[in-house]
Amino acid sequence: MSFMQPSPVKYACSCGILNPINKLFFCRHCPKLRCGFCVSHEIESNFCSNCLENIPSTEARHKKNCCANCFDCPCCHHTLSPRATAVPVVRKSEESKDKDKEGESGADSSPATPSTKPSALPTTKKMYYLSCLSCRWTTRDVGIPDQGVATGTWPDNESLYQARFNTLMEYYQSLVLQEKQEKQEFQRRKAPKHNKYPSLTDRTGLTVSLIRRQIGWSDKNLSKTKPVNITPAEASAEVDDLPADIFTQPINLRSITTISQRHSQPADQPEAVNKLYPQRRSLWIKRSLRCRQCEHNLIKPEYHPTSIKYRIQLFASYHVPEVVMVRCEQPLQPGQANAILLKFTNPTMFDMTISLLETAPQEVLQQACRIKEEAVTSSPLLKATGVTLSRQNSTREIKREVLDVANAKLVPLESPFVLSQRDDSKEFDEDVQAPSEEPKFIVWRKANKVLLRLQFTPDAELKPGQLVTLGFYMQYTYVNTVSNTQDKKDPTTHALHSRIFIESGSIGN
Amino acid sequence: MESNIKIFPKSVVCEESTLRGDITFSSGCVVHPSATIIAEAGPIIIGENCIVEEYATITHRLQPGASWDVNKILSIGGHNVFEVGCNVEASRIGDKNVFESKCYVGSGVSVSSGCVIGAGIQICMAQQLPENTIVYGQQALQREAIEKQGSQTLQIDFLRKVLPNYHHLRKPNYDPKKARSVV
Amino acid sequence: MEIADTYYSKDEYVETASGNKVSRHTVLCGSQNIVLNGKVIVQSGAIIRGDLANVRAGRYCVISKNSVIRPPYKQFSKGIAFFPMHIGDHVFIGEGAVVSAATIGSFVYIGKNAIIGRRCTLKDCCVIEDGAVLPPETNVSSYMRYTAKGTIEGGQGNPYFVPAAMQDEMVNYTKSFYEHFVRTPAPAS
Repeated sequence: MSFMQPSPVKYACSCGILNPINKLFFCRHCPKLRCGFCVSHEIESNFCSNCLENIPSTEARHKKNCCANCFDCPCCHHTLSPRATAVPVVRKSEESKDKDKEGESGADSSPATPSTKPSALPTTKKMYYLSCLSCRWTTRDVGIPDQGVATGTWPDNESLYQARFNTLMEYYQSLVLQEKQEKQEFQRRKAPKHNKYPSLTDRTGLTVSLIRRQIGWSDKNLSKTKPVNITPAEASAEVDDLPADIFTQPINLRSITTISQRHSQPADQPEAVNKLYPQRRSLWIKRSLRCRQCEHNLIKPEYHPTSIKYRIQLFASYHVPEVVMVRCEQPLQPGQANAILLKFTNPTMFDMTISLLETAPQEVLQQACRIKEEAVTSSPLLKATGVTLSRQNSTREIKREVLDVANAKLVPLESPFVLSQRDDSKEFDEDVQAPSEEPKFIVWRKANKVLLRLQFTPDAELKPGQLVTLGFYMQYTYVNTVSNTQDKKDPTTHALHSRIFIESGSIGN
Repeated sequence: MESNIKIFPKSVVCEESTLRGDITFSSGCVVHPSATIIAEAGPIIIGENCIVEEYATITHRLQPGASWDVNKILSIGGHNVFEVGCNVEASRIGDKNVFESKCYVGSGVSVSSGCVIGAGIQICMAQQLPENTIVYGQQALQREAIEKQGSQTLQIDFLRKVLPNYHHLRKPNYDPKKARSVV
Repeated sequence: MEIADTYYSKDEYVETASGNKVSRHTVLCGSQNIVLNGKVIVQSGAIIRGDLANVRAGRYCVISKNSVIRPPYKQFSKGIAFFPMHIGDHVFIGEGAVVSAATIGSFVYIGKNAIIGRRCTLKDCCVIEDGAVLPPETNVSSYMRYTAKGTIEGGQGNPYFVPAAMQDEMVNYTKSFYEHFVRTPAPAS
């Protein structure tokens, strides 16, 4: 069974959502489980997923988050690939040949054969057109002329309303600037010496004026920028009549665009397929995830688009013991005692003591976490007036109740058990297992893995076909090598717990 | 059903293919190993320069209640490509069509010329595909190409050179010139 | 869930010195041009076209039943050429998949009946869903998931489409697949 299928074993995240372990993260500073829902997502880098070019965020914004070189097919949204064709160029005289050569110097691979003899021999020149290999659409379909270079020279599709869009954009940008200036002016009058330190996160370039003011210079751009006037759009009830032939001519569906084709070209939304135009491919991002409580990174990918490595990777599977369901011993029947085989794996470099509990153990660590939280939210930096961080602020954690319920009764294990540390070299060792005193429920043990037998009884009132869910708290000792406080340098040992649900299968008929 | 395979010269038909019934390969055809061609209802005549790739299946299926009929010929035009794993039962196939990987074309479909049936697409309903039809995408949308697909002669030239080095081939056993001279 | 043991009969599979397990019911054309770097499983019905161009597969690859590995070709003005195909380490190719990619990175999962068109590039740690169709010359970058609907989703750091620890997941999966792919025990007689 592959990891691509939904896993029967789910862990309750600290936000209360159930997830398989491969979708969970473990914040070492809190220390708690986190999932994609309860962390803040940040853009790490922009890149084009087709040409794998890394594009800095300012450039990406400038290019409207589109790749400069790659195009999507307007017909089926697949990537277009450039195709080269040889176009015969007939050279009649020296003059035209020289001209041609000049024109070709920009082209990358045109085989310009320099011959001194004046000849009228037809020579070929490489020309490129874009073609979709999924639906066989080409730029020739809509009459876009072939280009001498494969990338970079494709003309943009100027829509009818482009000028209008530009003026609107300009207007609103100046409006934003004006409001910002007014607000700052107001704050300067109200509290002249309040914020001593300019924030580095302000992105509008107003920090310069802030500094100028602090040294006592006057603001350079005090001149009020008045927004340019725009002509408001007017609604009109007059609509052109439908063309007469729409009632008489049969419709050729192949020449009419589909809804998704129109939506992919929002500026003009063409109705006929001969108005389709190659669309610039939108960029992709790499994300880094950040714990909202302590603001530490959980995941930070490496910058380069082709790299698959992380600079920070706090996956739950690296820190929390993994529980794998092997099988149930008998077919599931309501009210009949059964047993399930579970495999526990210790991913850490320290031994773990694990106990399976039916109720939540005492909360010990809450306190430390609270203090940390408080410290972050009340930091003076955040309270700096008029400045807001672009990032989401850290929030106080609201505990969500885990709604899922178990419907089987477990027979608790007699004693806790120890999972040995992970040791990669043991993989190659001969299997010498010192026969030690083992609790009865342990089936086998090998390196950092333990297979154990857990007895349970599905509830008596379950009907055939219903899922039997086992639920328990797994308490484990976790050795934390990072500490929240500066003075402690030794690794600290915590007793952590996570709630685990196992879908052991459905009741047989 | 007895097999009667006629292979014209310059055709490359791998021995590891499954051929059943009365099948004629015109010159220049390439049949890859593990391809299947079944002539159940009547003879199949495959035109010049067709390529049949691995796990491709061409069937001239027997309709319920019908029996073998020598005159009910499934004629496949020239320059067609049957890509890996396609399953074609079409009633008529013209020239220069491409059946992409794992597509299915049902028995009521009549394919004209220059058509492309996209990868993984299933066409079951009886219909006629006009010339240069491209069937593409998840929803099997149709559009019309401005020109026919390029011919595969270059690929055939390559395969004709390479395949004999690695595979046992069925020998061309039918020479139209000789046959005529005998008559 | 633990991977269940898959049993094969001794007569059906050949095991090489480097640990490759290759079914006898496969079509390996031009076997001198096929390099399997060790611990690779090739299941019955698979076709690898080494006669067209070289095929090289890394360690711990799984090539499932009835899949077709076929080097891609490119057409030039003077003729065509088939290009060698490289498959990285820890790559899973599902049942009935048709793979004609130019390169496949490491830690790649290709689902059942997926079609990878000619000269596609699959980067490390990407996922192709069951039944997905990649048109020729598609590039799938790392941590992307190509869906059966034909869209590309995910990206590194996005936890919803490709597991963040894709590399470890694939290493574990292919290794345990190999370990659980065992010979049928001889009947006790």
